[in-house]
Amino acid sequence: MEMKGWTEEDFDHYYMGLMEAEERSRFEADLARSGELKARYEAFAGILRNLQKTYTRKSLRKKLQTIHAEMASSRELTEMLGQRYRLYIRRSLAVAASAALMVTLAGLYFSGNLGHHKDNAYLELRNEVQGISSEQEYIRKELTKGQRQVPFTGSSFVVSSNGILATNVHVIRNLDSVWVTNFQDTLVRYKARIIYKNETTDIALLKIDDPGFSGFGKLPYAKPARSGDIAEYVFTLGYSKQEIVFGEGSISSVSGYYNDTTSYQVSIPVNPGNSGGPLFDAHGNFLGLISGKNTQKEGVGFAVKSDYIYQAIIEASEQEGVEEPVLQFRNRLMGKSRTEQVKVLQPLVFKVEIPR
Amino acid sequence: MKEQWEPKEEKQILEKVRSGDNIAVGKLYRAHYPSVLHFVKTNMGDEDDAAEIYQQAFIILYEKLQEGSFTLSASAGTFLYAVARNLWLANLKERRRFSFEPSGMDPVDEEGEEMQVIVAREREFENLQSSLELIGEPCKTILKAYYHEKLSMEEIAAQLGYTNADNAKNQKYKCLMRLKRIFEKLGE
Repeated sequence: MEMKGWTEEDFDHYYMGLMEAEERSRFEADLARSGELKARYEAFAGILRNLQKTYTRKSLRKKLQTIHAEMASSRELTEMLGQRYRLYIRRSLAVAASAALMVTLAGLYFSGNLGHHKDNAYLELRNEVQGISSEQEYIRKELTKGQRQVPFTGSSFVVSSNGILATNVHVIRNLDSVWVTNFQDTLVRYKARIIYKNETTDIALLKIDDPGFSGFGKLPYAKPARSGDIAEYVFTLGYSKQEIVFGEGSISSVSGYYNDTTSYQVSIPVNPGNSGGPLFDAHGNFLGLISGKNTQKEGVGFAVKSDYIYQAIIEASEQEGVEEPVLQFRNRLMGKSRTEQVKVLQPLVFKVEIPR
Repeated sequence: MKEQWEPKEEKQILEKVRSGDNIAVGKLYRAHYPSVLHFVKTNMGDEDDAAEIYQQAFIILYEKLQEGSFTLSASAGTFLYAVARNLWLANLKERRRFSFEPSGMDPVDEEGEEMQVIVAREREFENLQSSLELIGEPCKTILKAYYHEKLSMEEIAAQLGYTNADNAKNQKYKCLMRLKRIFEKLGE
C-alpha cells in the first residue's frame, strides 16, 4: 500500500488528461485513499480551473458588452429608467478647502550620489522644500494668512485598488509617512506610509493608511501586455504646480539616461513635481512613471518602465505586515478622447505632501 | 417594458443560451438588467458599476448552465438579481463603505448558502486574476498558449523562441508554480 509521491507535475498531467491509463488508475486509487492527496489535488485543480475561466470569460464578457452597448444606445433603456440621475460617491474625507493659492516652491533638487543617476545632467523632478527654518517660516506665513497650503514634493499614482501608490524614492526621501492629495470636486487627502524603496530603480511605494479611505475599485486603465515603442504617442499627468498638469509627447528612446534599460526617454516637457506622475499611451496602457529629466537638453524626460513597478509590488507584498495588492483592471480609456481619458485618470494621480 | 416569460418559455430560452445562441443570450441579458441597475444605483453605485456586476452575474449563470447538473431553484431573473445583489454588497463591504442598510431588501436571502459559495468563488477567481497580473510576461503568454490555446510545447517553443520543447516545458512549469505560490499567498 505504498503511495508514490505525486507531484504538481503529475497533477497537471492528470488534469490535462495526459496521464497514461495505467498511471491514471494508480493515481485515482491514491486519490480515493488519501484525503490529504485529494485536498492537495483539489487546490491545484482549482487554480487551473480559474486560469481557464480567465480566458473563456474574456470572450463572453466581450459579447455581453456588445449587447450592453446596443441596449444602452437604444431609447428603450432611457425610457425604462425615466429620469436619469447619478449618485456621486464621495470617497473623500470632507476636508474643507479654501481657495487654491498658487505657491511655486523654489529650489530645484540636484541628485547627490545615488545609484545610476550620479550625474548633474540628470535632474530629479522633485519640489525641494528648503530646510526646517524656511518651513517654519512658511507655516508662520500660512497661519497669518489663514491659508491651508501644504508643501509638496512630487506626484504619485494609484497602482492597486486597495491604495498602493507608486512614486519615486527621491520624492519621499527622508520621510516616513506622507500625505497624498488630489482635488476633484472636493479635496481628498489621505495619510500614507512608505512600504517600499529601491534606490537603484528609484521606485517607492506608498500605502494609504487612513480611516477615511475606502478603496479605488477596479483600476480604469490597462496594465500593458507589451512595452512602449519608439516614436509612440504618450502623455502624463502630474503636479508640477498646485494644480494638476497635462503633458504630452512621444517615446524618443526605449532606454533612459546612459542607456538605462529600466526607463524610457520621453520628449515631454517635464518640471519639478512631475516625478511620480504616470506615463500613458493613447489606449490607456500604463507604461511608466516620470522620474527625471536631462538638465542639459530641453524636452528630454525619463520614465521608469511599469514592469519594474509591478516587480516592486511583488517584492513589497512579500514583506510582513503589508496588505496584499489588488490588481484588477477595467480599461475605461480605450477609444475615449484625451479629455475623457484625463478625467478618468485624474482621481488616481496624487500630490505627495509633507505632513504636518 | 419588462418581459415576463412563462416558465416553459423561459426554459426554452435558457436551453438556447446554454447552447450558445447569441439571440437568446441578448434576450435574457436585456430582460433582467433593469432591476439590477436599480439596486446598484440605490446602493452607492453608478451605471458602470451596475453593468459590471450584472455581467459578472450573467457569466456565472451562463457557466452554471454549461454544467449539466445545474438546475435553477427559481427563475433566471431571481437568480441573476440575487447573485448581482450579493456580489455588489460584498464589493461594498470590501471597500468599507458598507455602513448602511441596503435598500430594496427583497426576500432573496433564503438561498444564502448558495450565494455565499458563489461570492467566495468569485473572490478566488479575482485573486487568480491578480496573481496572473503579478507573474507578468512571458508567463502570461505561455500559460495562455498551453491551457487555453492548447498548443503543444513544440509550438510554444517555436513561437516564443525557446531552443527546444523541454526548455519551454520547464519554463511553463516554473510559471505555473509561481502562479500557485502568489495565488496561495493572496488567499491567506
